[in-house]
Amino acid sequence: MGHDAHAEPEKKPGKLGLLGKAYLPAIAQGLLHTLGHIVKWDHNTLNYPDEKRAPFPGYRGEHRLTRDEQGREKCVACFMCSTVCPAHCIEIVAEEAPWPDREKRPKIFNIDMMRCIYCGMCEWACPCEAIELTEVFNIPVRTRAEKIYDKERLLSN
Amino acid sequence: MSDSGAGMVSWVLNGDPVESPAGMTILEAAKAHGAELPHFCYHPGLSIAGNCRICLVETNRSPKPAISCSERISDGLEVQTHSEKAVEAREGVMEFQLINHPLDCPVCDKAGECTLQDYSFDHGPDESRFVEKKNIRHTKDLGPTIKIWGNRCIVCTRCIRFCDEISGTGELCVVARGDRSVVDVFPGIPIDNPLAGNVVDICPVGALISKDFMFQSRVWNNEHTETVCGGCARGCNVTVETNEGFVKRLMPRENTDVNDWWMCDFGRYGWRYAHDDRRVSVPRRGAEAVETELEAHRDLGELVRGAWGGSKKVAIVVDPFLTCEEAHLVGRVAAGTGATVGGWLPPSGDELTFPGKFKISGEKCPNRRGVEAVLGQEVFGSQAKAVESMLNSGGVDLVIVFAGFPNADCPDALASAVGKATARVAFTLFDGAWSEAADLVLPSASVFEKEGTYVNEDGRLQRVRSKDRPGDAQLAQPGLHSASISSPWVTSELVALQRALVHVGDAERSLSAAGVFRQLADSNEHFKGQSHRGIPATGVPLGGLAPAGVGEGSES
Amino acid sequence: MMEWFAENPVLSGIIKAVVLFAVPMQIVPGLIYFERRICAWIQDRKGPNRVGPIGALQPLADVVKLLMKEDIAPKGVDRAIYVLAPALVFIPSMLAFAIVPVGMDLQVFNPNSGVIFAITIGSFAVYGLSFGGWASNNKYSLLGGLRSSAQMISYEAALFLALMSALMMAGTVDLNVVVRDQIAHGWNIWRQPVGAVLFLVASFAETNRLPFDLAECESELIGGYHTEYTSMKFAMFFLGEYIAMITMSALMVTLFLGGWSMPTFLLTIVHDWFGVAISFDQVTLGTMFWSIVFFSAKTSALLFLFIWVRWTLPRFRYDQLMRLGWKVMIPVALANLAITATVIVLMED
Ligand code: SF4
Ligand code: SF4
Ligand code: SF4
Ligand code: SF4
Ligand code: FES
Repeated sequence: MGHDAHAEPEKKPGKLGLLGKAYLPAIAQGLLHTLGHIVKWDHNTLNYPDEKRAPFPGYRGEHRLTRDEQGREKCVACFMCSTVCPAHCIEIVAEEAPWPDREKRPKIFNIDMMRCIYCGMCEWACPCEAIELTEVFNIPVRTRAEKIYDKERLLSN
Repeated sequence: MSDSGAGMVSWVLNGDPVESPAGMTILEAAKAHGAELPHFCYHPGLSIAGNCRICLVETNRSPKPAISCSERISDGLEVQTHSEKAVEAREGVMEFQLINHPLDCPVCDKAGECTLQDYSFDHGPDESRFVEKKNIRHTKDLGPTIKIWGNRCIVCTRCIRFCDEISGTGELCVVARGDRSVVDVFPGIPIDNPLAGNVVDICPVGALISKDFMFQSRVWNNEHTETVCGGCARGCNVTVETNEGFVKRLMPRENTDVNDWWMCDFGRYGWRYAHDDRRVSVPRRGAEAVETELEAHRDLGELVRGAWGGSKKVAIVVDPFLTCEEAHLVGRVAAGTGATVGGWLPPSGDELTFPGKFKISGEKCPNRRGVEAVLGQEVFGSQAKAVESMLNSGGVDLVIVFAGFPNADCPDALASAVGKATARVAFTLFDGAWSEAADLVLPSASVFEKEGTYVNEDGRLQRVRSKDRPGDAQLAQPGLHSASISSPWVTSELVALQRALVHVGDAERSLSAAGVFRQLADSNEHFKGQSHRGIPATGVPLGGLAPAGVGEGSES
Repeated sequence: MMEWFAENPVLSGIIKAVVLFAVPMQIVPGLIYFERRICAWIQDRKGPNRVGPIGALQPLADVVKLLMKEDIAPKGVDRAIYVLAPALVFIPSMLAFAIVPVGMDLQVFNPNSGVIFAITIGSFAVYGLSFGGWASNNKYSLLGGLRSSAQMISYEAALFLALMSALMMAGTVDLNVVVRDQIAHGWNIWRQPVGAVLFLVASFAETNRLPFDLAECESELIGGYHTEYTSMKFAMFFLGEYIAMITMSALMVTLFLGGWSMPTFLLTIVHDWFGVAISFDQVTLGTMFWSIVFFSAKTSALLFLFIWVRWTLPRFRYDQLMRLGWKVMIPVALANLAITATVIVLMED
């Protein structure tokens, strides 16, 4: 664009009259435009706690660790999610699983929700469908520490 | 391997005429010319088995593809590594390898450094055509440190050949036949030889797993530091793998002059002391902790200054865990104060030599020869005796003790003497008789936290490195060795001694380990012409030092 | 009434001072509320509507919030100046308001220097801004302070020249006389359109309002001179800005929009609806009341303009701002002044 402008200097839209140079017509135009918005009286805001919008399909909210039919976490502590996570907010410590059908499970599984960017890559990376993003987005807390969710918290989400 | 002498063979690799020494296998010769061929069962340190068939290439010698790991080169040989036939053959092998292989990668500790994974990606088919039920093989303990996931085994027999050829113990064998064959031990005879850990490293897949490392971290998260093992005077080349400042495992590093591809289990699993809660982690005066390490180093400098010029009776007791650089600094302190320097050694163990030429030294410390080369051949011999009698007779004004022993007990004659003489300054890893009565206790650095050089029992100079200092600033484990090292380039003894020298006025400023080594190379004939940067990854033999334990004064 | 004031100078002074302090202080919260609502409407939002009916108590909540906030002074600030700065912004704007006749002959005090006093005292606000920027020990604050001082000095000149043109029409600096002159000869905005536009633009710059809020433009300078201010000190800056806005609107109304007067046709409408006949010939309580109503209505309209412009126009670039100030406004104002003077002299002849 800049290159073209150099090539054809005549085409610059700079030929304004005196009035135009004082910006006044443009300002008036802008003022009319904004006034139009006031007059239109069309407000897009939802009165949030009273009215709620249904989340869009595929909305990415807080995480949940899923459970299998026996109520155990599905996660096998493979670290795929923490490896793929662009925000490096998943901390896993693995341990041997006490169950015969599984070798490994997470001893510690923490997600720093304050650092998470809710990109959903962890959900994509998981080979066991053990982690998923829910539609929950509105859990306020008083300290940052409370926003580091541990395994129990994630399982109960 | 080359029995045909020095003759060169002309052959053709992928259309390019090349020359290689006669007697080489295609795989090795191709590798020398930059063409890596896949291989499972081939290992440079083991005999050739030729059973996995992933190394197939097309040659002009036979209509069938040849296994490059056992086929030797000869004049006029033409090899195609990526012809349609070769690629198809390898793809076929890969498909067979994966027929019964479980989809275990998410929980398999080998994932990330697994050759089966890599080759499947590079050479394997996109999808499996195998719809039948996969067979199940055993998952069990093979020994105190090793577990096998039979399903993952591709029966390359590397582990078996290792136990036959290198450790000479022969615990492992293949049991059952066909697609049920799997590695096992004989009933009642677990694999527990001192080199057992190596089978885990050489297993190309995740079948053999070290219980020490199992589930501890994913390998791609580990940071690698190339250093040497501090377990014995052999100085095996190792890679220390750390994760977030914690040692996760030690892996041997290839060095055909020292340890080939192996290391012993004593060294491999002997890193835990670095993360021991009982380690001395903060400097202290008597029992009271010193606020900052700088303050402690100033204290040390004050004590050294008081004794500077030879007006006082000073004794220094060194340990064989000091690097050459640290020993050099000790030498400078000794020269300035007129101190008598003696050393103490940890109790020695059994010397073991294995059929595969691998040797474990009986001397359970890494740098006796280095300290001797810097401070004199008699440091651990007659000098030690002199220091001992000096301490026993009393009247010593300042004693500086270095006790970087990885365990708290060091039953040496000198230990009791030092204990008796009320050491004034003690650098130590763990508290012992020498530090309990000390005026100033300073934390030692472990081998994993040192930066410098060691000299092994053959007189080979090798680099010790600490990229990620284990336990550094690990809030998760308070009481761990942390505050004592100020920069990743230097170690606590190195810093403390230099700060003391600066305090005295003998040095202008603290240097990195490489800088101290430069001073050492300038002043010591053994180290002449060496520099940190000049030391190759596999070390360099030191001039003027006799190899392998002949004729040192201290040994008597 | 007027006599009572004249007889009790001390008491009346106190009353006036209290009113002077109280009135703008009461207007500011409302102004903030409206600013937030209007900006929301412009952006098709609803704006604050949670606290109290239609959110009217939002400013109160804001005040409580500001009072409760922790008062932080960062390390390395120049304490005395740091604390003084918000007051230096707040007080001059307040004082300048004192001489504006908000109703017929109704002003807190009427010095001989008249409007000159207002302008002079109003210029002191620049010290507050630049001191705040200087004392905060923060590069953004410093830049903000620098910008604001350069900007205010530049536009002060234009402002003053524009104001001169209005004063020349009446030939006095007494604002009441200026208003009476406008009753007699028509509003100055018709007689001095150029001066009016210049004054309006310069007053935007003087109050650091968009499109001239370069001193605190958050996209470049975080918060400019008040980056490091919290709690009530920040609130003082905030108040200062809004009061300056009120003062400037009031001055504009007085100088160019007929002050507390109204054109005759509007007076007729008032007469028809409310049955009151208003004549600006003499001061009565009724006239006083209506004059205050007129004045407030006009000032409110101007304040709305301030808000409206802020949420319409983008911010100037600093070089554009300076170019406009020195290369356009001041020459035009000077020319305008010269022409006005010439015409006046010619007409007198
Ligand atoms: S949503 Fe994205 S950022 Fe959040 S934990 Fe998952 S991968 Fe990490
Ligand atoms: S990717 Fe899934 S199975 Fe693997 S650690 Fe994360 S949640 Fe667990
Ligand atoms: S051995 Fe390799 S391919 Fe097999 S499960 Fe382990 S990582 Fe995956
Ligand atoms: S256990 Fe590993 S090294 Fe041993 S045969 Fe099986 S795949 Fe090969
Ligand atoms: S590497 Fe050649 S057959 Fe295994």
